[in-house]
Amino acid sequence: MTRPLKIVQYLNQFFGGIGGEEYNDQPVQVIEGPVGPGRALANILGDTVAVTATIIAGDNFLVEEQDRSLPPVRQALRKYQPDLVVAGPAFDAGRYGLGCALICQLANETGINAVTGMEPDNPGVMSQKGLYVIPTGSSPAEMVPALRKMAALGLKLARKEEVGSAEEEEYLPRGIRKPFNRHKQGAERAVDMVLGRIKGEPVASEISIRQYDQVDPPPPIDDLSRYSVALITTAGIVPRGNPNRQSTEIPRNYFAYSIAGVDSLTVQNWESVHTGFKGHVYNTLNPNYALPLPALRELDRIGEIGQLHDRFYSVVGGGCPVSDARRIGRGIATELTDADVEAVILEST
Amino acid sequence: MRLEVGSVQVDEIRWGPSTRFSNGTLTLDRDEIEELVLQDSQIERTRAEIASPGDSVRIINPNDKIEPRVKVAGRGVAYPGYQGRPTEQVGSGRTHRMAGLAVIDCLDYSAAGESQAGEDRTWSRDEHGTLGNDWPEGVSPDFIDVSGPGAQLKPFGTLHNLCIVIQAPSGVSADEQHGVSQSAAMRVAERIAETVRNVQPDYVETFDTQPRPDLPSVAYIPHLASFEPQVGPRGRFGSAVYGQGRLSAPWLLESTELMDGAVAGSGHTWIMANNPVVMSLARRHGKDVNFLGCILQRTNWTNQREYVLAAHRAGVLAEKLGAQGAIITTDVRGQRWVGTMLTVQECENRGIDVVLLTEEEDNENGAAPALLFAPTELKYVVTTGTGDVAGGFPAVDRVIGAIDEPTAQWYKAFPPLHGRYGIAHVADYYGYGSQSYADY
Repeated sequence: MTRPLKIVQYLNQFFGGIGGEEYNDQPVQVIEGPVGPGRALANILGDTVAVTATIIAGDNFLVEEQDRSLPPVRQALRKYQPDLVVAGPAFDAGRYGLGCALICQLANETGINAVTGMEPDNPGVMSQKGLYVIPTGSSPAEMVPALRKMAALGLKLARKEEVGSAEEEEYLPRGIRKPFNRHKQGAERAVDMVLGRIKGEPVASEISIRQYDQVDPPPPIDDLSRYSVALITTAGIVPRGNPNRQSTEIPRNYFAYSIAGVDSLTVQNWESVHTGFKGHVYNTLNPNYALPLPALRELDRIGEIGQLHDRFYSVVGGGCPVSDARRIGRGIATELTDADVEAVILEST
Repeated sequence: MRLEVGSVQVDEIRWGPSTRFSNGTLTLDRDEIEELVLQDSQIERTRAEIASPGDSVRIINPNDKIEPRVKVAGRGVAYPGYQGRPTEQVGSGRTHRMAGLAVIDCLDYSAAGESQAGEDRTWSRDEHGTLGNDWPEGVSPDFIDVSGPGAQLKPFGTLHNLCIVIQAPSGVSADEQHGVSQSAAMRVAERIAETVRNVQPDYVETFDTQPRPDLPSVAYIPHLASFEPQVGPRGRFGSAVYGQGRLSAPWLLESTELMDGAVAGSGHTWIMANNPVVMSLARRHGKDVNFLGCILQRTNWTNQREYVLAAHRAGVLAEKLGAQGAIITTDVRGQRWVGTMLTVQECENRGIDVVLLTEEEDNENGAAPALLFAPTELKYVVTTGTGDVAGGFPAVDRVIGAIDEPTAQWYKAFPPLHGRYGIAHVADYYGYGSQSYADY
């Protein structure tokens, strides 16, 4: 007979039976066996699974005092070696949700699968990436149905079985998309979906809309006269002949070219490799349209800018994956920072 | 309008002494086909090749794909306006289509050199880096395999394909090369379609666009990239509506006009005549939907104001038609996505229930959202995935699509492909397949 699967559950001070809001700074304690909701969980799971320990902490203490709160949690996970960590469910309790997410993240970092449950709007949902979160209602009255769903998914995770899509397994989308055959033509699905919408029937979108990270622009500079300024272009301006074989789209890298002693780009010496424009203006009339070198030289001459950095950075702004864009952006920023450049004009296409 | 579409099934394609169709077999006179192509003096070299499903064949350099269709009754010609054909309105009467067949022009640029002079100077993309290091150098992903696990993912892998390999004329613009090639393919398709003018089709579907206001009313709004900003008003690049590739206010077309090929070009001629959204709505018209018609929206406008105006006008048209719902698609993303999203917003703000049908962006293991951007009005999306080919591509015995012997790389097995924007192997813009993506 196989050994029973071991589960460690995390509960906050309230569900752990210590007390309400006034005990939210309670330090971490570890209790053998199930506590409170853990008993209901144990009932649902049956004999093949054992809730071997319960970690309890005050909401504030766990989240705000991580230097002190996380080491004993790590220690408990090492000691009990669970197949699964179950956190909560936290329902609509925000700090409890954050705590559950933190515990799941910690478990995942140490190679232990974890599942939690909370209301979809709970800030805990978005606080960590890649967690398995079962959506619950807002009230602890739904404890048992929530635990049932967490147990069903949790068992798969504990057994290291393949986990299906968010829709199939009823967890919240984790921001990860994978191939999925819907066994019905896309066009037919679109017609079904639009008719469902018109009739007011419940229909499920195949993409849950998620936005990009927002990048806050830095504050404007009042006086550029003491700054070293660099030029970056996403128009893919290169020395004529494209010596680095820079790609026309979907860039994997960036390139820097010297403009020391150059006052203006000419079509004889420079061109754009950007596929989106076919380079009409840049390549036949005026490459400075994509890299305003003459204007910057003039500003340098009259003292409006401290100095113009003698290398410009070139990349093609077309079809770039987010992760490559981050890497390219970081690379350029690091080189510029190392060269004591303090301001940049980014010519975007 | 009322259109009968008679489908003549092509079961076999082979070379023979004369071009004719009989009992499901299309016999082609190779010399006649090649001479048709060479009628254009700009084309110096050509070769006709055939590839059938299950053959160990890879088709490279594909340009347009055309299903031979012929109007046997009613006004106009199939593929009206396209590459100079008459522009009389189509969509009524009777049309014969050759089901299971595509004419593909393979445009081989190798002799024309990599870069053109002046404004048309184009550099090839760094395909090696783009596809990943496990792919051989010099391979671009838009090839067609007619056998192996990838063959089922796009229509042409399951069709009999007549490939017209054309050496791209040198010394002319890329736009002109494109037009020359597509014209040649259309001449060939037209000739072949003639063979079934008087053939009894295997089955006939009748489409009547008579309104059925008692049923939920749906408009279809495809977004079609115009290349006018790049190639000018007479350019031959890009999707054309009755031959017009220009930026314009939205066009209103009946579904049957699309079935007669009123939208063609840009490699999409076959799929637009068989557009799965149009066909699904048209087949369900009168049963559970009132299909109002197609509002064809152009993209590649050069500034935001133009995009906003175009979106307004599409919204006005949809509302005037009485649309309760709309299915929206786009044929290239990037900046075309801006116009597509504005149309979504405009329709939703007019109370029209929108479903967007699209490919999605590479999720990069959770690093990136599925859509380039999404206004709050967009809530309902059907996704055809990112263009993955999980099974990879087996080595092939024959490679079609190069005038001279293609490089040895092209015969090799290729690893599974993780598709993303710009890495187009499948490129299912219109919900042809059942492949999709889901949240995990």
